Amino acid sequence: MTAVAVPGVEQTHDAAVDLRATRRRRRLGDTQWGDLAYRVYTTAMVSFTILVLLSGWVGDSQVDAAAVRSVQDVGPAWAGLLLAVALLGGVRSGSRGGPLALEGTDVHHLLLAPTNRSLTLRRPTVGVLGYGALTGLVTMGMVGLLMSQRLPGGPTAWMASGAVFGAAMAALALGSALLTSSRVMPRAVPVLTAWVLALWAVADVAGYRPTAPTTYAGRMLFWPLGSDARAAPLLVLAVAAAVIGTLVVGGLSIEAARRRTLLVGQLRFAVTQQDMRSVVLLRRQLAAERPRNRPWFKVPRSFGRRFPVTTRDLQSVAHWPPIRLLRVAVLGAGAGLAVRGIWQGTTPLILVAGLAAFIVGLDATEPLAQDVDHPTLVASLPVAEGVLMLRHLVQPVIVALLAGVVGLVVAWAVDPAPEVLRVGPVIVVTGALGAVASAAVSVLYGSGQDNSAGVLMMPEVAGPRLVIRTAWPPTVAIIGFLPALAAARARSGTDAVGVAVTVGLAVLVLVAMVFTWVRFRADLHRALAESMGGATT
Amino acid sequence: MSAEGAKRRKSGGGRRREPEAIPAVRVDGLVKEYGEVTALAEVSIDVAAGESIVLVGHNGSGKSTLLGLIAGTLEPTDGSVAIHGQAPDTMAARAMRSWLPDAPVLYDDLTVDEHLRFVARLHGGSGDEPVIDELVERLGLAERRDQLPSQFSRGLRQKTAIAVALCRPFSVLLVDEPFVGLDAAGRAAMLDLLSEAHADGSTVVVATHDPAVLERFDRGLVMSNGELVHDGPTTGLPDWLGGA
Repeated sequence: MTAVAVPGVEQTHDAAVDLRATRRRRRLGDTQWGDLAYRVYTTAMVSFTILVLLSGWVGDSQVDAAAVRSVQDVGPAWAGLLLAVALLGGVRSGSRGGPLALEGTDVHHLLLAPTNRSLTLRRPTVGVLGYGALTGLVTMGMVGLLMSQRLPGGPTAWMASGAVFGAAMAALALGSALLTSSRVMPRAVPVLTAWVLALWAVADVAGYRPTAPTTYAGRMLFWPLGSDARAAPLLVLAVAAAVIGTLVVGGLSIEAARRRTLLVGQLRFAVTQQDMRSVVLLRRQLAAERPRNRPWFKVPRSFGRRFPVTTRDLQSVAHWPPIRLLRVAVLGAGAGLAVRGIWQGTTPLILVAGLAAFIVGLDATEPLAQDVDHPTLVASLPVAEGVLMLRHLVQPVIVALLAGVVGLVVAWAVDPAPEVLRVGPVIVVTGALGAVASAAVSVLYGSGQDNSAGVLMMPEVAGPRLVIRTAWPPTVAIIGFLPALAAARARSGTDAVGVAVTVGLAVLVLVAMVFTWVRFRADLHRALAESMGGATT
Repeated sequence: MSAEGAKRRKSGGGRRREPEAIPAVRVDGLVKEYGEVTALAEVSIDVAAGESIVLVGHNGSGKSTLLGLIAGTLEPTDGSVAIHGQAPDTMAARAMRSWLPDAPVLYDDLTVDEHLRFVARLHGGSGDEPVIDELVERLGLAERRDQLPSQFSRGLRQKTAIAVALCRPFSVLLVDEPFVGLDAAGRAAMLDLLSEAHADGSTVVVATHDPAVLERFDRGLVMSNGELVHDGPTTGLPDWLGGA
């Protein structure tokens, strides 16, 4: 055999440490300290403003004893659900090579070299864990502070319990991600465990007897109302997951790490650009979600000749992988359950329903987004751009309506009341149309035509414009569920169906305005450019 | 083998040819699937130590996937890979194998010189080996060794990546499309370096579309639709390239 000696672990580790130190020194040398200080300042200001707004919204009058008992009964289950969702998110990230997002160069030069991978990755791993725990600590500490305004117990105690719970939750989620990605056990074990815990936590929230381990762990957040030793294992598990995960991180999949390397950078950029469509697209790639070769169904040729755009869009759905179909169905079911919650008086669930519908819309409008990405191709087609874009919305409406039907069936299965079937169809229609309108706005706002307008704006105009651009699309989806809110408010007196239809008509007017904008948006841009003497395309 | 080449081998980590029973690279029933797409369908190959292999095939035939699996950057759906009897992810396999992918993988913020020294150290060297100076000289990077490759043209980046792949000890060299972006001098230098690595006893596996270099190798493999359709002498390979 041609001999090549395996170098010592210490030797290669020293080289890796020196490499990182050299790069760090160079990065620090290139840092624009003024920009950094400005970013810290704006982040602090935004955080402080949000805290003040939330503080005002929560109020400061102490709740009565009955409300405290209610918080004690229900609160841990919700905190447990938050913990379970964080754990599930961590495990899913780990199954895709997370939570580390290494540079491609580090994967190639450091991990393919004869280094001890766990040792080489220790520093970035500790960094991710530290940042995550700090974020959890600060965020949940603030939540604790807000809770102290209404609940008995001093702010210090509430902040401390919130901070400890938040840090432990982040450490557990990230530690589980590390354990999953390091492949110390078959991937199915942590994934199934996380799903079981999440469903168990949902059952607890839904009002069954509190039995989920996450509910007991959630009591840590409410320690000022009474300590419970059964919450303590959360701390032990969080520390154990983080420590063991750090020790075994070297077992990660190089293939997954490389795929993540390529996509996470783009994903972060898309997030900073508020480009939701790219975020969804890149997440799909990160999850290695590929279209099926064999279509689920075939569109008849005669239909294709008459409606080529809708046919192309339906063919896109026909090639969706099972996981994407499942996701759309689960989001539809989630929206249905959220609407049921709204019906029972939990108004904030309108946000959950709207966001679920928004994601369904983004999934369904992929063919529209692909045409937006290829303006030259669109310009070469013998059809007006606006007409083409409008035709692209037919298939998403069908998909969103089907997802809505799933939601309706789930809501009816959970609560088979006659009102569900009477009011539900109205909400399915407005929710589906709102979902498609919101996704269309998001996709078309992300196009060059609409982006270029902001380049020369003054900061005072560009800032609010950016906020509106980010918030408006999901807001349209949320507006789609206003009939549910109105019907829930009216059900004790007026006819709930009548109210839902009335509010639904207002939603339809909004959707019609959005669709009109889709139809004439390109013409408006062209007319504007011509009036300003610019080039037209 | 040139005198410089011999000197480089010595400073590079003491590789020498020895009687070999275990293949340098063993690929056994290798399958790689991406969802419903089969990129590689039950490929089996033994490459003896010191052999030089050229891998040809049209785009999408599975060449890069096969190299990626041997390089340890991809994981097989089924089957196995061994480098001198070691699993591709072991420290021993990583020490023996040098992988030069089709696109240069270089740090944006390290100079040519820093790349070479750090990579040499990551593989047990001191970072001061004469081979580094020699490679820099032969690839025409001497004037640029203190510059950042991120500011280079594609060809210069490729030359830097070649130097990085060869500045460390190895016994198995895997190269994917090495001539892309290289000028005539760079191409000649690359061919000489590959020949020297082979002459020194290293196993060399190169994937290329370039018909002009095929006969420099001991053995040719032709891939088509993820399958190995030819394994034999390199004579006649240009016909395969035309019709595979």
